[in-house]
Amino acid sequence: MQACASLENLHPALWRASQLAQAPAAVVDTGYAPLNDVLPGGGWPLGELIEFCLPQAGIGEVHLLHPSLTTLEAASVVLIQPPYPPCATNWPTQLASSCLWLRPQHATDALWAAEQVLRSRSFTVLLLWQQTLSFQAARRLHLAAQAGRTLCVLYRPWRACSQASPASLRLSLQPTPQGLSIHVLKRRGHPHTSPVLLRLATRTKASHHGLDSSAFSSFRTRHPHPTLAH
Amino acid sequence: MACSPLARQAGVRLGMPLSSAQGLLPQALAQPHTPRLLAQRLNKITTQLLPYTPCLVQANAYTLLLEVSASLRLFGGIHSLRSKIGQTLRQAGLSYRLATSCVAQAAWLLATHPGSHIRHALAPHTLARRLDKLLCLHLPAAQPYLDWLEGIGCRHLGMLRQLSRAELQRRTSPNLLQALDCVYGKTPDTSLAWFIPPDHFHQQLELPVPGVRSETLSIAAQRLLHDLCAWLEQTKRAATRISLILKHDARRYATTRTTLTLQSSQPLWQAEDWLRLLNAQLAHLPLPAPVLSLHLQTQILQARPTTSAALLPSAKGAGSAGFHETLDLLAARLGHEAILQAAPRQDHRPEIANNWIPLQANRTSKPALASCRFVESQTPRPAWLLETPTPLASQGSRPFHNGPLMLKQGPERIEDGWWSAPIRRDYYVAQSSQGACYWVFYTDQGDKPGWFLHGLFG
Repeated sequence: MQACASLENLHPALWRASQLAQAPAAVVDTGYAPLNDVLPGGGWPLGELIEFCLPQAGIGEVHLLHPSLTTLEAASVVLIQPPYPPCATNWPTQLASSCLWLRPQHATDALWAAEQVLRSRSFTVLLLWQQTLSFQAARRLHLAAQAGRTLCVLYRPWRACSQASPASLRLSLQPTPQGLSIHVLKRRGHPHTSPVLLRLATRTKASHHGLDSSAFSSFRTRHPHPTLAH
Repeated sequence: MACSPLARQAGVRLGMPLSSAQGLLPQALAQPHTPRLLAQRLNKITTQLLPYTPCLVQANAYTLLLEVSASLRLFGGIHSLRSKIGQTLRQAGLSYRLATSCVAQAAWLLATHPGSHIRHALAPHTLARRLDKLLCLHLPAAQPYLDWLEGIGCRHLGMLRQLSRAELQRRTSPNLLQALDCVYGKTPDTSLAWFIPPDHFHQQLELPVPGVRSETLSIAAQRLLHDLCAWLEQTKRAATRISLILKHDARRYATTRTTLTLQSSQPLWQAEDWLRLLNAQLAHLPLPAPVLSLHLQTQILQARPTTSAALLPSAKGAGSAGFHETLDLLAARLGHEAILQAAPRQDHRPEIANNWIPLQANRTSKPALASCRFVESQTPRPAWLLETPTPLASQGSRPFHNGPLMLKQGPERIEDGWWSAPIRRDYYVAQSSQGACYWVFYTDQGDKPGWFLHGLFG
């Protein structure tokens, strides 16, 4: 008679509480190994609402997503009500000309636009900033996100950490002198309590694209370059 | 002027004053009778009968002549075509009289002649036999000579035909003989002009009750949109811009009309697509006054695009059809100025290079490529760029923004705009004690030299 090694290894379908839950359908690599280990599926889930809670804007919250944008080969990015005007040259090359910045006047219009973008399933990335968001509105966004495979990220202020939210992945970001400190507030599976420290040293390096400087150099030509004449 | 059969049963007669008619039938509807309305109605019926044949003549306000010899095979013969046309006219709610003949004028005469007689005359000898029994009274060319014809006892067309032609012409006019020959099919008829469909669709709908709710307007506009799409279907075209004008009572309100323009980047020919754009605009439209009538007209039309599908299904291109429709829908509700697209300019000055323009209405299927080529650069750029740089206080030689900032990355000098507004700035990446990075610059030009905050590294 075969002796069972232990009760835990009785059957592969037996789930232990220390395991992460079933991985989401599609994930994209975040580009940071410590973050990949912590997220279920090993990356950002596509087709689900991801929530970031930040104390202030400008701590690296968008730069965190840049490696995954390159992996996704994103074709279109939609930014809805960002806190400051975005810089077009900061995005990877193929996106720089297909970024869309939506700035509706009312929050209801912004939520409606987000829902339409998610439902259409033709956009790759949606970044939405909202100061106040009710649970029902967040739930509607989550359901709309599940219709497609858009990378949908919702940025909320710090006080939203203590509020309930239907998002399947919630992270809180805090700036540190070396980069970011990320707490996983909510994820599928058992909670993760220790913060993840990420070095964003490449944040201030050349990840953007400048302008073609050859149009401005006319040292070798004898005649003035035609593009110099404005 | 005219009354329906049900009204006639109740006792209403032609020539009766409106008050007595309404006394007999309080629930009767009285519709005004103007030439404009008649013309509109005729156009509408013409549009509905265009699927049966493209050759139509609008003979007068009450008569349509259709040339159907080319459509007989498609519709399964003359009798089935007659029943289909009759069904269409009944669905439009009209009372009609249908006559068929091999000659157009003869069919017209057979249809307008009152009384019960067979209105079919497909073969020429049958035609002659049927026409001979008709009264001269109803031939338009014989109207001036009716007294004389009555006097000589010529009452029917058959008798008129038997009269000597030269004598008849001498006593009446050549027109009468010509008309007679046309009706009997002896000479071709050149007086009829084919109906040419108008270039643009223009239709109006009067609301029975002044409309204030967007749902009422949406339902009324739906009917107009269905007519528009039927017209587009017949002319095999698609529209990219249509306008809906809502008219208010000019006597009571200052604004007489509100115009809604529906624009789409792709040519659309389905009623549901236009209705979606219309509902997005109607939901947030402030109405200054109740709406009395809606006018729909097309502004930009183009030929319907023929779609060619790829041989192999592509995984990425699955959603491309919804991309433009979603952008049109967003533009319809938020307005074109609320959706901005990146269009970087060739300039060293960051605030000028970072250029965002409203979404173009006539964008092509690929996103508009930027005018400048992108190359890898060695200098950092922030994610967020303020529109105008904010001046910062300085503590000693370091900038101060919610705490002292440490300069992390060395100066990048940008000097540009020598022809208009020269700038000379040294850009640094500064980090606060918490760790947030800012893009600051120092300038010694202008009226306020010092440190400025230009961007945040998000």
